[in-house]
Parts: sequence; structure tokens; C-alpha cells
Amino acid sequence: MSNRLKKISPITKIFFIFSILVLFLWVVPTAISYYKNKNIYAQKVSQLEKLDSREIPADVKPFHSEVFKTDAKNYFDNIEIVSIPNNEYNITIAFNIDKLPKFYNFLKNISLNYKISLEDKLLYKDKDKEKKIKVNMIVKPY
Amino acid sequence: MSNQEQYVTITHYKEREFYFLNYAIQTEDGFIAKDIEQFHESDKIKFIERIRKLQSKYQNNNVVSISLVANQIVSQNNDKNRATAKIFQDTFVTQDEIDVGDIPTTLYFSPFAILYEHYKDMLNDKLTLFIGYFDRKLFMMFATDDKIHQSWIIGTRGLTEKQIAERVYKSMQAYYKISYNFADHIEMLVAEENPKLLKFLREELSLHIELAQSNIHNLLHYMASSQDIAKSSYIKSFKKIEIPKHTPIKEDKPKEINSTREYKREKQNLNDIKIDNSEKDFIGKIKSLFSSSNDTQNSSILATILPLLIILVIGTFFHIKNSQISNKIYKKDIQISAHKTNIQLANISKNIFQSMGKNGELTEATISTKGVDLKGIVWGIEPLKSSLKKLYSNGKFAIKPLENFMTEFSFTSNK
Repeated sequence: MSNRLKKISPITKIFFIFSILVLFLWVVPTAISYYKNKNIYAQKVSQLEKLDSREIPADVKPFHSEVFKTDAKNYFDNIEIVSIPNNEYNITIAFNIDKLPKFYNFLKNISLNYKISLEDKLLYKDKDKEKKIKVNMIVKPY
Repeated sequence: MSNQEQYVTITHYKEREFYFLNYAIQTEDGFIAKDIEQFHESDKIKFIERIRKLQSKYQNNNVVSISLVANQIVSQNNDKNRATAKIFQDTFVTQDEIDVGDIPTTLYFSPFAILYEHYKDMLNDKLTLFIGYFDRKLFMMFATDDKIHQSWIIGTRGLTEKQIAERVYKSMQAYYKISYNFADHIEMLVAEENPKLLKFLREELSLHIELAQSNIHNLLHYMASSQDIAKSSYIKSFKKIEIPKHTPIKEDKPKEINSTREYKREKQNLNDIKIDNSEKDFIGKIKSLFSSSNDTQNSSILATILPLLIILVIGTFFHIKNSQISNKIYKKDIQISAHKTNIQLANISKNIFQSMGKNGELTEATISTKGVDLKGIVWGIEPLKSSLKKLYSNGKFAIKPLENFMTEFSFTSNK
């Protein structure tokens, strides 16, 4: 056995040791990390499912200003989307005050429906005397 | 069987300063393609002579080429003043003229016809964007099963992959503006592999793109393989396609046999192709090392590097998978945090508007999860103050009489 080992060339031995090192220092930790992350991801998916109160859950869509506008027009009278620096969009929605519950619902589900996060600041303005309000929000697609 | 009876497709096209030539013997089971030959444009005479030689050797032939010009369009009109080919029903592909530059050609196809032929079985009522990548040009068409709605060609020479992806995105936006319809499914047929472009397209469009890959010659051999498929060509006067029942495969040792059915099944995404290629290359390397097994030096190299190679392949696989899942976790985290903030904002807004009741009316409100800043008209000062204080005990409530006998209130709170 020792004779056979002696016959192996030094370069082969170095490669073999290097392979073992790569296996234990890189491959095994990466594989463990992958399986751990897989579990974490499954937990996150289930956490989000619990938070999701939509009647008909749908997959989250990439944000596209025109698609968003078209979807929002089904609920509100007027919607404007302006692209601003830092890959953000300024969204202004105008609607009658009696549509406030609809707006709350829309707001709650916005990040479930689109890949966007909302800046933690909403600006409500009394638009005119006809009980219309205007809401301004800034969103960032991810 | 003699060469005269065999049906042969001779394919050629020009890319930059080179002509590329290939021929394939068509059999009932598919075509048997030969080696691709390359000629510099200065050798044009030699190139034409080679075509003529092949034509004389195989008299039952069609010489097939592709139109790679950028000014071709897909439309519903059969413009008889221009070179037009019917793709299907009332859909035609049109270009100003056929310019094959005195090179023999009997069939001449548009990439749009090839794209349609390649993907027609998967068309349905949902809008799909098909992209063909030939000669550094993107041939794009938005299609449903009954119609090709729009087509565009984007030249990509001199552009970075990111710039190309941005242009594709802009085309999709432009199409949305005219049709209010958004293609959320993309198929891509490439004549040469460009993983970087695919990566940027997927990132820029945030959509998964299925990929199929085949070289231009094979696509053309397929297009000219039967009368039915060949009808969507610019040049109509081609020889009737008749494939002999028994083609002598033994005579011409096949380099590559692509059956029509197999060809259709070849649609693979990039990952499949990558794995296939890497497997092929890897197996090829192993085979080549083993094939010279008499050479002890090679086998010792193999024994030395094989374990390391295997470990590196496994490591790379897990590394890629791990990066992908980490990215997904990061995005899920953003979504969860954004969703929680949105719920909070919706609840705070609801409480603020409810607390107004009939005691006041908001004219301006800035609402965040950290605090609120409200301004409006008040009618019942004490009830409004107490309901707002219930929500924000540390809030500052102030009133200011207005000239019109009304009273303005302001309320500021920070958590």
C-alpha cells in the first residue's frame, strides 16, 4: 500500500490534497448554505401567504407603469405616474372620498400584486369642494 | 441510388465579409447536413463555382438563402410592387427587393417566416413576443394564433447587451402604447449563443425567456424540407420538393441527422443547453482522453485532474444555486417588509379619517408609520382633539380662527 502511494507522482498528490481542501472548505459549506437558504425561502413564502388576505391570490408581477396605470384605472378616476430619479415613480391617485375603503384595500395589496415597495409616506390632499381627494405616493420597483 | 435522385438543399448566407455555405441530403427521416464551408467575399467566384458544382452533382436541389436586410416588415397587405411572401392567412412579409447579388438562389426566406414556422404550434390567444437573433439583428414579432400584430427589427452592432435589452424593453413599451396589450411571454430563437444578452433581457424585462438555438443552415434546411413549409418564401419558382423514399444513408456517412420531429423538440432553454453543452464537452474531453488510452501521460493527467474537476463542477453548481436562492430570499424579504408597511399605512389612514367623523375635515395630511402631520377645518374642537389624542397621546393639537368664521386645526405627532 505504502509502495503504491510512493509511486504516485507528487503533482497528483498535490492535486488530490487541493481537491480535498476545496471540497471541505468551499463545496460542503456552500451546499449546506444552499439547503439552509432553501428552508428559509420556504418559510418566507409561507409567512407571506399568511399575510396575504386577497380573495384571489395572484403571482406578483414586475412593475410596468402602463400596466399599473391600466389596472388602477379599474378602481380610481384618475391616476398619474411620473418617473423620478433613483428608479422611483411618483404616483398620484385621485378619487371620490367614498372610495376610501377601496383605496385602503388597494394599498394593502399593492406589494403583493407588483414588485414594488412604497416609501413610508402618504400625502393626502383635499382636491376640491366635490369631496375628492388626491393621494400621492412614491414607489420603487425591485 | 444515384446523386441525381437525391433531394439536396444547398444553403448560403453572408455575414459581414464572409459567405457561409452548407448542403444537406434530405431524407424521409430528416436531413443529413455536411460540413459548413466559409468563403471570403474576395473569393465570391470560387463560392459560386462551389454552388454550381454541388448543383451539378445533385441535380434535384434547391439553393436556399435568407434575407437579413433590416427593412423587411410583416403586414396584412400583399404589396405586389415589392418582394412579398405569405406567412399564413392574410399575413405577409415584405421587403423592397430581393437582392441575392447574382448568387444562385431558388428559395429565399425571411427570419420572420422562420420564426413563425418554428413557433406556430405554440401560438394561442395570449400575446407572445418572438425574438429571432440572426446576424446581430433582433427580429421581433408580437403574435397570437390568428395574427402577427407588430414586427420590429433592432440592429445591435456596436451596442452593449444592456443597451440592446433596454431597446427591446422600449419596443415593448411602444407596443403597449399602441395596443394596450403586454406580452408577458417571450420566446427567443438564436442562431448563435449569447448568454450575456439573454441575462440582460431577462433582467431588463423581468420576464422569463425561453430559448431555442439552431444555426442558420439547419433552419434553412428545415424550411426547404417540404413543399408545405417552403411556401412562405419570397421566390416562388422553386423546384417541386420530392424526397426519395429510400435515401442511401450508407453512401454518405451522416455527420448529423436532424429529423423534422426531433428538430421541433429541440426547443431548450439556456440552462438545458448549457448543461447539455457542458456535458457534451466534458464527456467529449473524457472520451478524447480515453481514446488515447495508450498514452499513459494523458491518463495520468486525467487521474490527476478528474477529482478536482468533479469537485469544481459540484461546487459551481451549488454556488450558482445558492446565489439564486439568496437573491430570491432578498426579494421575498423586501416584499414582506413592503407589505407590512403598506398594511400599517392603510390602517393609520383609516383611523385618521375615522377620527375626523363629523367634527372636522382634512385638507392636507402627511401620513407615515413614524408619525402624522394633519391640517384641516374643525367643527367640534374637543371631540376631534380627544379622538386624535386617543391615537397619538403625544400629538400637538392647535387651532387657528379663520376670517370666514371657521376654525383651522393642525395636529402633529411623532412616534
